[in-house]
Amino acid sequence: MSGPTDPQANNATGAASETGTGVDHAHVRPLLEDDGSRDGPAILTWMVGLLLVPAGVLLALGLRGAADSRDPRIPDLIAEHLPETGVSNPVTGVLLNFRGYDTLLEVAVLVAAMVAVWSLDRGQRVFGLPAGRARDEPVLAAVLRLAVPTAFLTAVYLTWLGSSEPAGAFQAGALLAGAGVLLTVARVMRPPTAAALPVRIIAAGGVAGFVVVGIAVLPFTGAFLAYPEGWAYPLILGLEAALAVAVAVILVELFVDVPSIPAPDSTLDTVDPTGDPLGRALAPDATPPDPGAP
Amino acid sequence: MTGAELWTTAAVFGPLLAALVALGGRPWTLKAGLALGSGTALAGSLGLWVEVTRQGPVRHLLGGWGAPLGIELWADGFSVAMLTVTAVVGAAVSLYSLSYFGDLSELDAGASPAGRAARYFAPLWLLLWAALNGIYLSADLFNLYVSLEILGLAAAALVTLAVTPKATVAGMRYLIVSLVGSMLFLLGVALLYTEFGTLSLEELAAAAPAGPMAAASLALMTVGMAAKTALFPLHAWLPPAHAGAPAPASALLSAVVVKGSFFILVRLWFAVYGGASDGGLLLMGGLGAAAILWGSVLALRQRSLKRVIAYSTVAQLGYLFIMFPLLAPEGLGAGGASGPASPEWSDDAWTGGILLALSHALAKAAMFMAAGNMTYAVARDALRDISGVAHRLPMSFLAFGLGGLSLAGLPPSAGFVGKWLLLREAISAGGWFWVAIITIGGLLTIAYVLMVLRHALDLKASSGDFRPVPKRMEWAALLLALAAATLGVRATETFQILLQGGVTPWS
Repeated sequence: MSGPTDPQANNATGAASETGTGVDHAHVRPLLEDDGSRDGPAILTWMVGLLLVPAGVLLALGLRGAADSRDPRIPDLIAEHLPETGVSNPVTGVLLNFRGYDTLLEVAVLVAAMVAVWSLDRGQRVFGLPAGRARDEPVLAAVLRLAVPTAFLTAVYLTWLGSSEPAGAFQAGALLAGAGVLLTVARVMRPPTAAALPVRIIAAGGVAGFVVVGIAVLPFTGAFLAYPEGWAYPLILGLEAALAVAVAVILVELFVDVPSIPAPDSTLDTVDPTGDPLGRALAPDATPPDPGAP
Repeated sequence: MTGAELWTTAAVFGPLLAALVALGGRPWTLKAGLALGSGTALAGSLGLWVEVTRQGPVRHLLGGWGAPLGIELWADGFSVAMLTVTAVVGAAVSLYSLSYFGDLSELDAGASPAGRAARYFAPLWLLLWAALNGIYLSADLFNLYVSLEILGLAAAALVTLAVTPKATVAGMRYLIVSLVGSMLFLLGVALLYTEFGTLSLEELAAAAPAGPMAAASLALMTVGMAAKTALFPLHAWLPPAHAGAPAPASALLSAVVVKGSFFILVRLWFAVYGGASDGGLLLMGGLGAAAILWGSVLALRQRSLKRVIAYSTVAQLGYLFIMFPLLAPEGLGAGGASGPASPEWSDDAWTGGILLALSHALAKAAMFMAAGNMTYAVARDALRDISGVAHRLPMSFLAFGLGGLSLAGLPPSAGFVGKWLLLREAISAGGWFWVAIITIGGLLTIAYVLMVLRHALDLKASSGDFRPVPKRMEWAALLLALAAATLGVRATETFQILLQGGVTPWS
């Protein structure tokens, strides 16, 4: 009861990047075509608009004077407890210590987005690279030689700086990702793919590091992510480094490892819309996909 | 470290770590991930059940700080009940998924849609599981929002594991609805924080939010969460998404995922806002009533098996909102007058309503898995295509029937006990409208369950083509259905846990 074999999808992954034609946009059908035919009557639009007026008035009433009624309690509390966090930048203190759990889940959101994108893989990517090599283009090569090491150094510096100044893992990760994207589109680095185990390990490393540290301190301090006395600074720095690399890999992945939706994969056109959700026929060889289909 | 810290850690971070293990993409990492996630979730929820029964609601100060500076995990009876039913359903569906997606050793082919789905089902579901457990244990508004984002992303991706074009579009629409819902929630959170200067649910409850800002933020958050819960009239995304997804994903989405945003709605309306206003409660109940009628009638009109069950979810979710006005029975007579709701909460409506949520989770998961077995056997989803399948798959047929029995509210199912408690409350409060709705909804449920069963028994129209269904898939469906059908016998323990904290745990 295996799925039908699918030779078409095998060649598709590499095809776009090797043939040099890049993306065939004609094949990428818009997912939700909107020609206005599904819009309701105009009166409905007006009714919704009229409903929104009291909502807006309510909001305006509520917000009136809200700006100067700022409750200073939490900022005061942060200032009071900042020395115990191991860092001197209040933002990092909140992100990695006071509300570290939220940050952990935010990185998990990134992982979820990446896995969701991977799961949409129908065997062909939208992202295509033109043929050729960077070293054949002197200007590109020179820019890369300047930009990439600078971005890398700055990212390391930002990670380090995060404990005392406005900076940190997310900024550093974004910068590293920029360098990664640059290297990929310049064809110096092969695009990372979901299939590569190192990519998965590094991308998962941010969340994994957080959870492992959180559980490891549990027996000593009695609470998840409660850093033991004197350990806060090194642990936060280590987590920031793991996060920066993980964020970078995830962002590069989201940029270059994007599948097309719905895929221009001809085997999917044979999927019975009322049949098995995974396109499996009753007998595995009842409707063999046509490998020669364009 | 006490039990509370240990079990809450297991419930949230066990499945999260398991998701990362499952990302390895090898057959053994998928199995190890599902085993680790199921084990930690079950251990965490059972451990918390014991702790909360023994000493009432418990908390875990993450990072050792405590609110308002830090974030707390917080478990009362409601949290524990939801955690437990999610763990039971999740473990059963995880087991089911090991067979549904086919031979895992063929993963490396990676090219077939089934292989790809097998590779990503486990990590997505485990991320979703961690987010759900995070929601049930959350006591912080922003933390709820972040958990919701993981929930929404992973849930939409579970739908698009199916390769049919319809499912892809349905999944995309689900994602958009889900994101809009989260944004509305975040806007409400921002307003509340501006006004009250805290994100802690407990502190907000103590501040007793009132006034235009509080009302506006409750309205925003309610619309957002109602869209995610598919409360009528924001339900249109649900049937194509839940019907189009692969069977294990359908079971999870219908049984446990929509309960996450329902949980948030209950927490906000009662624990934080103290019931808000009687008029608001009546409005929610009215939408629930409309959902019951509309969903049931549409379920009867469907021609495809999984769409019948998906519309049934729309209808059954309506019952959970009928609980809203019945919780404050003294407001029923006021007929929509606004003002603070009565502080006298009805224990009958509370235990009955939440018991319905729990039994719906068990029954709906069983029914979607049974339906998955039937469609798996014939590789088609139309009602006429499953003709005669009852003779080939008696266990799945029985599972579907038992699940339907619980949905319709026949004794001794938990559905019966839940509906009976709601009815008793409605009768004693003189809310005859609600009595009528609950009764009519039950009859309509019987009608669409029988409609499916009639097709499954129809041997004459059977085509005879049939694919054998792995026994594990049949057992998983049947065990959950049996749990749903007999939970009513052991309802007392559930009542005891639900009254730990009760409707307004922070008052």
